[in-house]
Amino acid sequence: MKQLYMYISLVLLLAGACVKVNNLADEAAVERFTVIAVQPADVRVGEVVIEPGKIRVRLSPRDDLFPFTFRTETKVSHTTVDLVNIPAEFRFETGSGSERFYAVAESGIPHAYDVTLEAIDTGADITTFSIQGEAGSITIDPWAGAVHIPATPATFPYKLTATLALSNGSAVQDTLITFENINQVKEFAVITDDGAYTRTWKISLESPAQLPNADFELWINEGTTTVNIDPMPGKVWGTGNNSFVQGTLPVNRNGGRAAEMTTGIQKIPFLNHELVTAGTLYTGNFVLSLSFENPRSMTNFGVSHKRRIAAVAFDAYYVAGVQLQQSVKNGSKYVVTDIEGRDTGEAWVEVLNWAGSGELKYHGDPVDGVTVLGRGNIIFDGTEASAGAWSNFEIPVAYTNTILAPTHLVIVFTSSKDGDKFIGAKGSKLTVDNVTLRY
Amino acid sequence: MKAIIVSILLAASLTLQAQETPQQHPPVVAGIQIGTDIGGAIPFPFKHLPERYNPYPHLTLSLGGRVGVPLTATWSLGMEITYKTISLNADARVKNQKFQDGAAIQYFTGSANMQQRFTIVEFPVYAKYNLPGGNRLLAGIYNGWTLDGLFRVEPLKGFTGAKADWFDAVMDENMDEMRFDDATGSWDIGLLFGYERQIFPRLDLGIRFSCGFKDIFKSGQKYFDYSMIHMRGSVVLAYDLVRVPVKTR
Repeated sequence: MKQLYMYISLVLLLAGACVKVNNLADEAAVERFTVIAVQPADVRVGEVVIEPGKIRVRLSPRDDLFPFTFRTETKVSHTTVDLVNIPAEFRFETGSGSERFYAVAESGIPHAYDVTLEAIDTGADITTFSIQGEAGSITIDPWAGAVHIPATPATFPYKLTATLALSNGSAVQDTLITFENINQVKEFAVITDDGAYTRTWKISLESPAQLPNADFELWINEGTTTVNIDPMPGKVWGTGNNSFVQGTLPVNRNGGRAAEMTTGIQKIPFLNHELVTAGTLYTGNFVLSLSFENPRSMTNFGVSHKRRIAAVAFDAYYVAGVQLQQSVKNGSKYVVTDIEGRDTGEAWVEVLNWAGSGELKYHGDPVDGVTVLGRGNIIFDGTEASAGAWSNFEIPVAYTNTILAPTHLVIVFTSSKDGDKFIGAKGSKLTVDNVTLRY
Repeated sequence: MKAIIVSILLAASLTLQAQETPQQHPPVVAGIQIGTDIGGAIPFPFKHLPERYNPYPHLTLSLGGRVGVPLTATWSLGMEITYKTISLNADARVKNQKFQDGAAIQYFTGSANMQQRFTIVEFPVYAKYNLPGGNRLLAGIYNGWTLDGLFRVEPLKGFTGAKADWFDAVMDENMDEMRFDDATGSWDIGLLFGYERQIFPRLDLGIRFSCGFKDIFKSGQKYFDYSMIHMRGSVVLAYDLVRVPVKTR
C-alpha cells in the first residue's frame, strides 16, 4: 500500500511540473477589498476605491474616530497567489497614516498596495482655504475639522483675509480673520444645504512645521538585527538598515537619543560579496533590492513638505575612518580594496516640486516630473574645527527656482559621501541629532 | 527526472513478478561500460520539492569498468568503478524557501533557476540475481567521491523576507547568482537498484536507480532547512572483455 502511495505521489509531482516558471504571470491585483469589523463600530464606511497600488477606504470623519481599526475580506485576480505583509487587523492612529501589503504574482513578483483613509465630505466641510502669499502651505485636516495656518506673527492682533470653498461648491470670499494671540483658535461653522448638520471648523495659527522624530528619539526593534528608526508617524525617516546591514543605530546623548551612522565592511550572505556600506539617514523610505549595480535605486528620497524652507540646522559630529576602501567586482564577487584618499561624510538638502502622480520615486538623480527648486550641502572631511565633537551646523538652501511650489523635502545624512559607489572608510561615523527646519 | 524515477520503480516491480529459476551457472566476467545518468540532487524529504519544478537534465557520458563474480548458480557479486558527470538545470517556483548563512536567515518566494553539476568517481558493489533469458536484477550500495561540485541558484523574480510570508526586499532581475560550489561535500553513499538484460553475447543493457543517503553539502553548511540528496536514473551498456566459465558440479 505504501508503494502505491509513493507511485501516486510521484505521478502527482510529475503532473505538477508542467508549467515553466518563465511562463508564470507577473501580474497580481486585488479585485475586492471589503472592510469588516470596524472599530468604532458605528463608523460609516463608504466606498473602497481600488486603484493600481492603492486602496482608499472612504469614511465619515468624526471626533472620536481614531484609533480606527478594521479587518478585511479580499478577492484577488486569478494570477495572484498570495497576499503578504497584510495585517490581521488594519489600525490607523491618524487619517494620514497608511498600511502597505503586497499581492504576489504567480511568478513571485510582489505588487505593493498602500491602504489609506479618505474622508467623505460631510456636506459641511471647508474644501479649500487660501490667504494671500501662503498658497500650498495651509493644511486642511478633514478628520479633525481643522485648518492650520503656518505663521509666526511678530505682533498681534494678526489679521488675514481668507477665501474659502465649501462642500456645496460655494465660495466665501475675502473673509477677515483676526487672531489676538498665537494660541487663539477661531471657529467657523459650516452648515449642510439641508440645514440638518453643522460642523464647527477650527482655524488656528501654528509654527512652521518641523519633521516628526527629528530628534531621533523613536526607534524600533532595538537590540535586534532589524533595528531601525521608527518609520511612524508618516514614514518620514528612512535608513538602509535591514537584516543584512545595520549601519545606522541609536546612541545616547543628553539623556535622549541621537542617530549614529557608521561605515562598515559587510559580508553579504549567500553571495559572499564584501561591501563597503555607509550608514545613512534620510527623509524617505528604503526598499531593499538585492542588486548591487545601482545601490541608490534602493533609496526613495523625499517626503511631502509644501513649505519653502530657508535652511536645515542640526547637531552633528564626524570622525573619518583610517583607510579609504572601495568594493570592486572581481569576477562574480565584490571584494574590498584599499584606495588613496580620505573619507568624507555629507549632509545634503533638496527642495523638490513633484508634478507627477502617485508615489514619488526619487533616488537623487534626474527624474521626469521632479524639479529641484533648491539645494544645499555640507561635507564633513574630519578636518573641520568641530571634528570629533558635537557642533551645530546649518545648511542654507540656495533656490534656483522660485516659481514652482515645493512639494517634497529631501534631507540626507551619510557617513561616507561616496557610499553609493561602495567607497568609504571602515569606522567613519557621522552622528546627528535635533534636525530643525528654518523658514 | 520524476518520470525517470517512476519508470525505473515500475520496471523494477514488474520484473520482480516475472522471475524464474535459472538453468546455467554464470561466468566470471570483467568488462567495460559506458552510460549516462539522468538526475541530480533533489530536496529530501520530498515534501520540500517546489510547487512548480521543471528539471532539464543534461546527458553526459559515463565511463567505467566492472567485474562480476558468481556466488551461486543464481547469485553473483558485482563491483564497478565509474567516472561520471551529472548535470542538471532546473527552474522552479518556490514559496518561503529558507536560506541560512551563519546567523543570516532569509526566506525567498518567487521563481529561480538552479544549476548543478557533479563530477564523481563511483564505486558500486551489488548482488545480482540471474533470471532466465539473460535477465538480471541487482541491488547494492555505492560510494561516490565528488571530484568537482557546482551548485548555483539564480533568483529570477520574487522577494525575500526575514520571516516566512513576509516582504522585506524585492529581487532585482539582474541579481547575481548564489554560488554554493565551495559548500558541496566530497563524498556520497547510497543504495543502488537495477535491471540488466543481455542483448548480445558479452553485451548487456541495464537501467539503474540510485539514491544517496547523504546531503550534498558539507556537514555544518546548513543553507536549507532540508537535505539535498542525489537521486538518479542511469542507462548502462556493458561489454564483457573477459568471460571465464565456472565449472559446476
